[in-house]
Amino acid sequence: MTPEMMAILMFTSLVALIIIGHPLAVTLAAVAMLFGLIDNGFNVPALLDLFVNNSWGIFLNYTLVAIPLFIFMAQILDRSKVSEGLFDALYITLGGLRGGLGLAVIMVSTVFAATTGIIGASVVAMGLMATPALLRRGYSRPLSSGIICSSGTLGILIPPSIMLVVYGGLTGLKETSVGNLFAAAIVPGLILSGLYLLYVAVLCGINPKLGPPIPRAERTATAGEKFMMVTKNFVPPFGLILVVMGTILAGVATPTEAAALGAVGAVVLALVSRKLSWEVITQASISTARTTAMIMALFVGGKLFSVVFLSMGGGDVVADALLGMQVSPYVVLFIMMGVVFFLGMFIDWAAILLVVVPIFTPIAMDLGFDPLWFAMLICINLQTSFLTPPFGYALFYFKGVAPPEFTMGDVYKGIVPFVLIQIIGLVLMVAFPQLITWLPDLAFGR
Amino acid sequence: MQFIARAINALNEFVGRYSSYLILPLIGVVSYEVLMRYGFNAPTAWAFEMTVFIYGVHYMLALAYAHKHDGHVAIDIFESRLPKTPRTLLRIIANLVLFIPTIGLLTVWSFIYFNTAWGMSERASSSWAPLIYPYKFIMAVGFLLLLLQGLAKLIEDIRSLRSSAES
Repeated sequence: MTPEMMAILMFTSLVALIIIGHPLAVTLAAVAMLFGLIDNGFNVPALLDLFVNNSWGIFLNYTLVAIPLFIFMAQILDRSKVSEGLFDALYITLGGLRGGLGLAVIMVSTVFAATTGIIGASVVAMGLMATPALLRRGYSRPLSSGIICSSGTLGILIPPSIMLVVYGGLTGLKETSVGNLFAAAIVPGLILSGLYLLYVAVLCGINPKLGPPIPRAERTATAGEKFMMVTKNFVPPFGLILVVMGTILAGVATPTEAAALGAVGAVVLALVSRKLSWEVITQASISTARTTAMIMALFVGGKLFSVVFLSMGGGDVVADALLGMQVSPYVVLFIMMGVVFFLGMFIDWAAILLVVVPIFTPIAMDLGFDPLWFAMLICINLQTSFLTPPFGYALFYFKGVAPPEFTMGDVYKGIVPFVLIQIIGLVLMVAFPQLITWLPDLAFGR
Repeated sequence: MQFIARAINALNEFVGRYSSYLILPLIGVVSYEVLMRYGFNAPTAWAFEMTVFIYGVHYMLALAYAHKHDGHVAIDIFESRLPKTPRTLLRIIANLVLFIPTIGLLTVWSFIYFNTAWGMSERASSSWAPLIYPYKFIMAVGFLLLLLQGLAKLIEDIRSLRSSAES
């Protein structure tokens, strides 16, 4: 069989087997094993030696240690209810504006995007916390769900983010180190958040029925009280992020070390706000272990898949097909983004990242693109994948916790403008690469 | 057969719950290294490797626990719409064809891998030079626990298939 045939067959087998609903990590490893054996003439010991060696390599990967540390930090912060305090404060401060409550949700999500790093958690938390308030104030259902789903997914992009740690650990390239990726993601994350804010403010400004302000009679807090409330609730979590990101950007600590400091900081914050107990630590530890095991299993499965796929020449097949077209590099870029976007409608981000990035990164570098810039485009694209119907996971998470009057139709309708905003954001990053590269250049002088 | 499934579930629940506390020494070791290096300008020789090893043990022992609680991502959008019996049947087939051969071979080979390291008392090539085999042993145990959890699921699925066929 030609390498072309094998590569196509391997990929289609994966897609066909994925839909039967078996854990993805195992399916990836199983497909890798089958095709690895076909490729090497059924030499079981040789293939298994390779697989076990690769699993051991992941065992020794220092970069990935940041994953459980950031997850633990987020778990502790989540259980110490800091986001509730911030939401209440912003709710009272911004409630008098048209669409003000929506703006408050986006701002809280943006701050906590920086602390969670995994998306299920932030969409669920914001959905539970903010949806009742939005409904009570007469916000339109599609707009409410669109706001919560889109801003809730910023957590996967705004650093510290688990996705960026996985990306950095996967490529092992100097250009896409976790520190570089963290620095590169800040501006794009804030731009997307800013675009959401702008959209909600303009939309509700024109049509206040979609997001009415709080009635005047209920606005009793004075400016001083508002200021105190926001400061009190904003400073602790923001200070923690500043320490974590600051030590990384200043080159003082590795992302793994910064993550450990963040975890210690989160425990201290919980202790100060009297929310810390052995029960909280136990629950946070167990959730951390489960989420970490899930990501690491995918990492092993994805690694075995890409080792086999690349060693049998699958990477070259894709590269030849894309580079052989003799078109502008931007057309190839568009195709690669289209593939990620399409896969994102069906498959989880980690699987896409682990399968696609080892194949696409050499192609992007061949075309002369900056690997860091390319990485960030993929990551923004993957964030969008949580929002795209039919299988945007954020939409399902939201539907799972939203009050029953929300139909799936509301959720789908509400997300459309935000997906368009994502695409606008992506186009901006392509047109102005400095938006991505400016901060890492400044911090690390690449 | 049921008592085997119950025993595996109990074992993995126990291992998963207690190994999850390894996150605490992990935070401790990394923070200690930061403190020693920046606070006292005295970096340790062992913290870097210790960090990696604790984390390896942490996630390898959690793999089976996550599987027990269906924590591993799966694309279940199509599968979840099937009626109960075909769905259980599909799970049994996937388990027999995908899970058990793959994880089984990985388990066997990781024990061979451990045995080699043990036989030659392999040490890490660093100044601290710790023995490697205990960690390779844990890696093999992690795969073994995952394999056992897959077997437990198989037993449970077969039983649920039988009971729905009888009723």
